[in-house]
Amino acid sequence: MPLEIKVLGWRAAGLRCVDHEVNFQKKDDQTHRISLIQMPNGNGKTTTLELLRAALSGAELENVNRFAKSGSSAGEFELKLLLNKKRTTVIMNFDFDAGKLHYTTTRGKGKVSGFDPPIEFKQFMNENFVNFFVFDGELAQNLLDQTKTNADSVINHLFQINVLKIIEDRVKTHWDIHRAKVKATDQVGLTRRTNKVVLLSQRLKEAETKLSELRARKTKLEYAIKIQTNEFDRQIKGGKKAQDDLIASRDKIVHLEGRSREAASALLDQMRDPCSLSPLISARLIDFRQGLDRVKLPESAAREFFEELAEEELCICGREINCTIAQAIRVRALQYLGSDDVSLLNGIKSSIDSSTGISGQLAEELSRTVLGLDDSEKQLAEARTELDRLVSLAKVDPKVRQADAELEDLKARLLKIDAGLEDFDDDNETIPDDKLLCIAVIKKKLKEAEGELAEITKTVQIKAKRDVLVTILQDAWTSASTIMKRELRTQANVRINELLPNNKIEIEGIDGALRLAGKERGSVGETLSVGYAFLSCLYNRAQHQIPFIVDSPAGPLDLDVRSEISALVPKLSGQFIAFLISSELQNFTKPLSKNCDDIQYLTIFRRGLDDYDQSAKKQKSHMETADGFIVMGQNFFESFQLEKQ
Amino acid sequence: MTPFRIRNDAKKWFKNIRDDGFNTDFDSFYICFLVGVLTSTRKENVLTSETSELVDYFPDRFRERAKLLVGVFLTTELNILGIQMKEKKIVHNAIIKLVKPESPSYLSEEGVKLFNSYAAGGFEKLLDWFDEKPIRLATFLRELTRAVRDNSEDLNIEGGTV
Repeated sequence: MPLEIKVLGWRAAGLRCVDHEVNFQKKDDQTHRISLIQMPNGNGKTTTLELLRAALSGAELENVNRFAKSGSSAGEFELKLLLNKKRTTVIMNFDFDAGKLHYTTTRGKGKVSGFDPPIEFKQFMNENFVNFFVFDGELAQNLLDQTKTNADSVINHLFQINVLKIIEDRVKTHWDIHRAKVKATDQVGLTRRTNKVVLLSQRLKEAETKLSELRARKTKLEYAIKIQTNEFDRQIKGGKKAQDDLIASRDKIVHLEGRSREAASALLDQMRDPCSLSPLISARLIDFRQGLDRVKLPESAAREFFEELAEEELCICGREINCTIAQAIRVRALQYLGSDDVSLLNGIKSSIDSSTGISGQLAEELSRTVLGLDDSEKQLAEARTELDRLVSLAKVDPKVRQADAELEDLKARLLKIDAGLEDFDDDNETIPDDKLLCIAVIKKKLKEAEGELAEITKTVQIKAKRDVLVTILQDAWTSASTIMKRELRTQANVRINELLPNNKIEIEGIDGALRLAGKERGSVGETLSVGYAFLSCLYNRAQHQIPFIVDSPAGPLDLDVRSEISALVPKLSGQFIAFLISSELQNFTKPLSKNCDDIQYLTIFRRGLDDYDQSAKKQKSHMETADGFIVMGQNFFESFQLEKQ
Repeated sequence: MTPFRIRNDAKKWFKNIRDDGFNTDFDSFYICFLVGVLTSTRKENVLTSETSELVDYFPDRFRERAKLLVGVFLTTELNILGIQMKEKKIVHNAIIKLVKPESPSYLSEEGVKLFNSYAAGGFEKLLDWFDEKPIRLATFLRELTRAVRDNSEDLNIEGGTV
């Protein structure tokens, strides 16, 4: 967005210059196109310019006491600006006793301490840039001195080429933030993570296939065992009784296993009360419970009671609770449990009471269940022995022995498969990826690996995009800057030739400062002309509107060049403010008035010039300050002639 | 909230009886904890990667005994810390570090970690007591009650960290 700076006016008091106040404002926040301020030498023109530069840049001035008016202990300079049509006032308060300067800025958000223009204006309102629009002969010389001028920076800011650098910085910052969040950023990391995803995907496929195969083999074996068991029964000779005995024995085992399982479940349930397993636990709990009573925990009053009491004006005993007492109560309240803690501790105590109160009964029940379980297990063992006996009897027959051997072989194979299946339950995540079998763990690791791969893939892509974008931005910046400087140089040289057709002077290049062809510098007039030519081209082309404030715009110029410059001045900027002395008016103000119909004339001088004092007082538009006069109007301006200029 | 965690090797050790009667892995965890507090044995510094996350509350049949189990834990921990139940301030400070009434387990983060360390330590004791991993719940529980009884003399002496 193009920016616009306008100077509405300023006021100086208690400073080395004549106390004065100037106002460049017309109606509706418009300012005069050209404001000419005539100020004789010795009235503080240089001081005023230095103050203006400071107020426009927030510069930290050295030796502030040099700005003091004789006998003055404080001074103030107030600059009123219009920044994109919004008022901003910068005030510089000088404390000469302390030798200090303090800035205050007033704008939309109110008054703030320090120099604080809107952030977008700081690219212009700084010490380097301000020299390009508060300009004097010395600064014209500086335009040719690389150690004192950075014209590149001004061109960059004025033509917004710096936006390319800002975007480049943003791109780099975005990348830096992204890079800080990720672990790997390069191709090696990408390959490593890709390989991991591939390996885990293969491992998942292999594990699923292997698991499926094992399960199928198990189902097949279980069926084979069932068939073989029937075959075994069928081979048993000795009549139906022997077969019935075997079946009955097996049924008994199944029945007893069920009973045993039920008893074990009941025992487990009883064990879920810790007091039932060991009297030691009950004893410890009772000790703990009594210990809590002994130390009076939880207290009958909770912390909240005391915290609320600290907020009261009077204690429950009627005594006043002042700040000290309230603070003491709050500190000591921390020694009490909160109401939730109190409730929990009371709950724990109740649970202990309930459980330990019947711990004997629980222990007895548990013993009974254990005895019942022992009995079931004993009967189960006997039933298994009986089955073994029956099987042994039957195995006298070679065919039965053969059937049994085959059955045992099937069972052994089933056990092996079960052991193999067990490996698939091993969820130990520290097993190397290529040895993993647990499907859940492989899936989890694969998901993580895919996440990491996605992250680095995105990162590598972002890095590539960043590199391309930064190259484009840098090329664009170099190109824009070179083209801009070349065009400015060509235009400025055309203008220099118009101003100084016989001087054979031209700008050869812009490398920080302006470089003249064939010479380091010209005469003072030549240098000022080159400066005007360059700056007029600079400001004419820029979208931003910046005022141009010049000290002695025509002083060192030859008379014929002055009229040329006066034609140039209205084109320099939307607001041109110049400080002049009477000797500069010749061949400058008249041609200027022909080129512009909106010129404001101001004459400022220190009191003590009797004729002019009297004359000033007769003027309708005049202002008298503590030590001087400000007179508005062209007639007084043109009639004001001091011999010593 | 910080969850209870069971050692992976304990989970594997209990696998057969997990299928034979334990309702959840919390039963395995509870048995380990019980042995840990009975023997006042803690095992700290177990890597998280070597454990599996359970729930952050006392589930199923343990729900109604949650406060009792917290009581058992506090009793053991205060005992291990050598805290005499005489100094109110010391007891108060020790308890306040371990409990958190608004937590689903009533335990603070530190409390849960220590609770887990008793379960981890208890599993070490089970490995001492049992030559092989259990196959049937009935056999295991009978042997466990016997082991607790047989070791009851040792249980009266001060325990410690494994």
